Amino acid sequence: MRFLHTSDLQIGKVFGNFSAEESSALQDARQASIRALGQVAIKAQASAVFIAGDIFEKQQMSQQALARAIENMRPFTSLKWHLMPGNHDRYQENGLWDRLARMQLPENVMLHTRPGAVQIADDDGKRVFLLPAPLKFTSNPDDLTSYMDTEATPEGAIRLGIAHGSVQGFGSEGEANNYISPTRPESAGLSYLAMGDWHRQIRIGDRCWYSGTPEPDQFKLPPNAVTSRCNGGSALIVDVMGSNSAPSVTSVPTGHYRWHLVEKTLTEDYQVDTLESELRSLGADLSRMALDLRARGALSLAGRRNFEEKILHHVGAALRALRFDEGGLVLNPTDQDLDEIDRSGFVRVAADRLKAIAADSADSNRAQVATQALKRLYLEHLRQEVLS
Amino acid sequence: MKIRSIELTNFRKFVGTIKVENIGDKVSVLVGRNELGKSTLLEAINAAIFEKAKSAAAHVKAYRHFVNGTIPEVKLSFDVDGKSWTIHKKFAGQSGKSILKCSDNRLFEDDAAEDELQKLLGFKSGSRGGEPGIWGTLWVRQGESFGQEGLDEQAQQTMQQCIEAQVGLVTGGSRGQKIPKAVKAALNELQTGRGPRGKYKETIDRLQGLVKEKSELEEKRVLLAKELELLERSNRDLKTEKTDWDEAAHQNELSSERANKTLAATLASEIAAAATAAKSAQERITNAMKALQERRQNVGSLQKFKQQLADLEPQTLELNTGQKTANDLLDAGEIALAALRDFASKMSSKGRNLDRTRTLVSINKEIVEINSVLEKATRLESEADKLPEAIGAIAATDSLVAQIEKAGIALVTAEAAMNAVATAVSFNIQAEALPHLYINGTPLSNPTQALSLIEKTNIVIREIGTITIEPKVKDRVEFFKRKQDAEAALESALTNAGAKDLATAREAAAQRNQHTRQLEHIQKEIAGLTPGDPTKKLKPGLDHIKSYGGELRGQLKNMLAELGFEKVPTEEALDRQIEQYHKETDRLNLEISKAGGSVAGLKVASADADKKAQDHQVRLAVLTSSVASKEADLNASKGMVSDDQLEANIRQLGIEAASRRQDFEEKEKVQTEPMEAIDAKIRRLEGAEKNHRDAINRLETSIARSSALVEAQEGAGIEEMLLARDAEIERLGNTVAEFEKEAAVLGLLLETLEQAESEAKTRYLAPIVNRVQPYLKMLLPDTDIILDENLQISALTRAGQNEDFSLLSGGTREQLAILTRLAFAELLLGQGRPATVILDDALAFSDDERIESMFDVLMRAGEQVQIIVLTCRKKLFSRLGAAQILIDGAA
Repeated sequence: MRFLHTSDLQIGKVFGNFSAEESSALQDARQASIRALGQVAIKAQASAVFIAGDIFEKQQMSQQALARAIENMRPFTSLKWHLMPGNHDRYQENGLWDRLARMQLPENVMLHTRPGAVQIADDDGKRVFLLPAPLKFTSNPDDLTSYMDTEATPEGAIRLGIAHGSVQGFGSEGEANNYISPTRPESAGLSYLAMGDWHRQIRIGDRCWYSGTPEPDQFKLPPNAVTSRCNGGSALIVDVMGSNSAPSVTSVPTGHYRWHLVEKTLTEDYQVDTLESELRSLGADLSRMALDLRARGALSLAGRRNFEEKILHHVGAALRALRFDEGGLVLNPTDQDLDEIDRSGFVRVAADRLKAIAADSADSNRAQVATQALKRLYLEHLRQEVLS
Repeated sequence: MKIRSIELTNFRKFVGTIKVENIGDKVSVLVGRNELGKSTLLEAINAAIFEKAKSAAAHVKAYRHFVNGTIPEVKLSFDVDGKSWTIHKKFAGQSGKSILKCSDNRLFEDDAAEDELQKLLGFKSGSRGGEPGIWGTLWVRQGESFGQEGLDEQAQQTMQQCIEAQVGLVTGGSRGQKIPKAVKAALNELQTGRGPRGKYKETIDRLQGLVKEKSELEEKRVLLAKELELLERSNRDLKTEKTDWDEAAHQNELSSERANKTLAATLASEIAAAATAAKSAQERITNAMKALQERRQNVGSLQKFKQQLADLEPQTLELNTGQKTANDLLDAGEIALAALRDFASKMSSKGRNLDRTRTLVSINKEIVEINSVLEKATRLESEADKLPEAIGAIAATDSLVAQIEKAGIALVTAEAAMNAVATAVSFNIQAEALPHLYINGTPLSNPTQALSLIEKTNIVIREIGTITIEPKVKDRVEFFKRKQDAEAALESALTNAGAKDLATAREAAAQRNQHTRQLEHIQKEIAGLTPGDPTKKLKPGLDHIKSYGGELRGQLKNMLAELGFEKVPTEEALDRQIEQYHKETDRLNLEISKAGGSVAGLKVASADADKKAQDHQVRLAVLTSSVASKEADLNASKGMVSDDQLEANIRQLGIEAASRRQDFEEKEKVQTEPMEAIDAKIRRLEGAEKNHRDAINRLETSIARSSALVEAQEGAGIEEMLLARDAEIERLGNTVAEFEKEAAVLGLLLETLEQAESEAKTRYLAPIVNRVQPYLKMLLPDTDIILDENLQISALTRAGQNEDFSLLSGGTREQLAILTRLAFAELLLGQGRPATVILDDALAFSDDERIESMFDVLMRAGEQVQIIVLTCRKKLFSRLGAAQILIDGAA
């Protein structure tokens, strides 16, 4: 049996750190990821999609959000969508899952809100059973998969597990303390355990994988990252041959947007141009990119103006979303900067004073304000120059 | 620069040549009447310097005389940098001529002259002639001096160069001026003094709105969560309620208990009926037996009463006898007591006689005492009666003795006075010669004798002759009279006292006093014998006691008659009688007391006997009555039912009661569950059923309600909405923070710029202000001047208040403007530039006091700056104290 393994769509998630327009685009992408997953599954000739929890961001979702998600699944009639509650969308009586259940779901959508083996396919005479471990609480002290060890299925049947939690203890990548034994596939005779909760894709064992989120949602790099690309944006195509053989697992890209985290230290004004070309070469289509730019170092007033123009305004306009924290990038006004403002007169006196305040480390807040004031003076001066 | 002289020829209204010379270094006053051309003179100075001689400009052409149009000429001499210069210009258009001569013999003509002049005085050449620049400021035309100093661009540059030469470059240029304005405008867009405005405020408002919405949503979310929990719990409870309830079993149990109850109720009523029957049978027996018993008891008690009556007979007799005896004894006792009391009465009469006899004896004793007093008093009186006679016989009293003493002293005094004035004559005559000497006829008696002579005295010496001595005593008669009077007084006093001399008189007086004292003593003694006695109402005095004694004797006589005594008994006899009487009385009293006690005891015994007899009678009556009543009852009862019949009834009733009791006991033996227990069970079962149905109802209602609520809420997606609000709040929060930061940045920038600008301005204006200030203090103490960056006066500070320049009076404005010009000139001179101040008809609006102050200022400034004052007011400006030069021109 071939199926697509995904999790943590977290439909409904919002992005307050971005502008409303950026946030809206990123939000829509999460809902749209269902279609992308369907298409990838069809392309891979899979017969089912397992979503291992956190399909939705919250319990109390709007009817429209729920309906849209289901409607996005409906057209893929050749795919069976197997949905299970995670910690974000845990099972609660009369809650989200009961609402879904009341919605006259299409035949290709199956909800797994109770533990217990359910036959989901008859694969060339080999019956396939799904053993879900749905969450009833945000945090569960017990390993919800432990029942699988004793859950009976007919002899020779293929047993597939689906769970949401952390294979490591508290404090690992998962959001909640839902421990799941990484040796569960072995102890419970599972051909594959489809895990959800971690947003990065990772192989725990031959038969145990985290698919990661299909659409990135955090500026978080995987450990020992070699590129600036953040976690998420792919799913797994899993091919289960039989009850005893190890499955074949293949990662497939699914994300619409790519999230990058770029950290750069600028010490010379010319490095702004280098940074620009680096950013432009991140991808062919910057409009499908969200960037967290963490610039550090110091620039002159002229360099800073250049930075704002080329990076924040030009590249920023090309990107789908840009987050920039200027705290790490200090201003280091040069004599030339100050001379440009004025060589003498009271404006120059004011500029010199602001520079002195900005350099005073005793009051960092005031220093920061003074830096900005100096920048503002510089820009105002340039503006007056243009006007006159 | 110092102007020395000016010469005008055919300039404007002047025809011919006018020359003003000898203009001094300091202050010069050029005086000319109105219309004489003072202003023309200033115009000519301007023309000589700034206008080119060849100028064809209209205003230069206008220099020509307005009637005859002759060619005007101006010749101006001045000193610059220690050299004297003369510029001579003929304004004749193309044929005009300029000649500039220097004391070092240099000569410049026409253009060269004009150029050199420009260089020398530092002004520019303009298209319409020279531009006076700062000179225009320093040379004030008529009517201009009271306005602002009005620096044109060139003048400003000149001043600025001067100032910057002194304080360095301080301004930010024209662009620098615009930056604070732009920053202020940007800040004003963000906030006003009251707080944020525009987009900043809108964002804050939206953020607050969102926070409110969020909290409302949060509330809804909590409510929904509670509702979900409630729904879950209700469903669970409903399921449990239904599962745990077995309806059929419950109904069976209830029916069975209800049947039990019916059964038990029937049995209970039967038992109750049997019990009632048994009880009433028993009661009937009891009643019958009670009636029988009562009849028997009545017969018994009748017998008993009759016996008691019989028993009481002997007691009646005894009681009656006792009663009589007690009464007889009482009568005898009372008679004996009466006899004793009669005797006592008689004894009492005797006692009274004894009392009277005692009075009689005491009166008698008193009479004896009074008689004794009277006797003694009579003796004393006869003694006293003799004494007045003896006293009367002696004439000499103490006062008469005193008179004699006084008269004696008066005589001695008179003699002494005579002796004092008398002529002393002493004799020491031999004894044998003594009989031969006679003094006033009397022989001398003593051989040594001294005489004091007052009168003429003849001493006769027999056979010898007579010696007459006639003392010359003044007032001799007076002396003699005094002596004679004293002698007469003495003699009269002695006669009165019946004494021959003073000693006899004294003795007689003493005797008299002795008699008097004795008389007084006797009188006191008599008074002491009869002091009176208030208890007897006896007043003091002999007469009273005599009268009292008489009364007592009368009383005594009466009492003797009353008591039948012939004489008063002795006290001892009386005492004996009294003692006897007391003994008898005591014995009698004792007897009476005993007899009284006995009678009282007999009275009690008699009353007791009476009472006993009475009680006995009552008891007899009661018994007799009871016996009668019982006999009547018994007879009546026996008349109705006989004793035999009664006993037969009782036997029959006994049998009946036994049968009833047996019936009851048999019924009671049947064992059933108590009714209360059955009722409790039924109640419990019914309650349980009701509880079950209520619970189902309640839970179903709750579920329906919760489901409806949940379904109504869930579609909205509260948590999804909350997420959206959270994101928006975060976003707006960031925006507000950016605005805040922007405001802080602009604020700091503006503050820094304004401070720097203010400091720069202060520094920039300091050279002018420092020069104006000393003059200002002379004119208006306690004020400061505020200049703007264009070196114009913007305000005056007086007592901490800024007064706008335009609002000051015309006079003050003019005065301040002149001060500023003087400061400019000083500054220019300080920088080695030429400067002269010309004031045309200035200070027209100043009052007397101010104008004096201004004169002081001008004179002080004149120490450094050449000041030329053009005026028509010769007299007023003579007080300036400067050299006056008359403009003597022909108009």
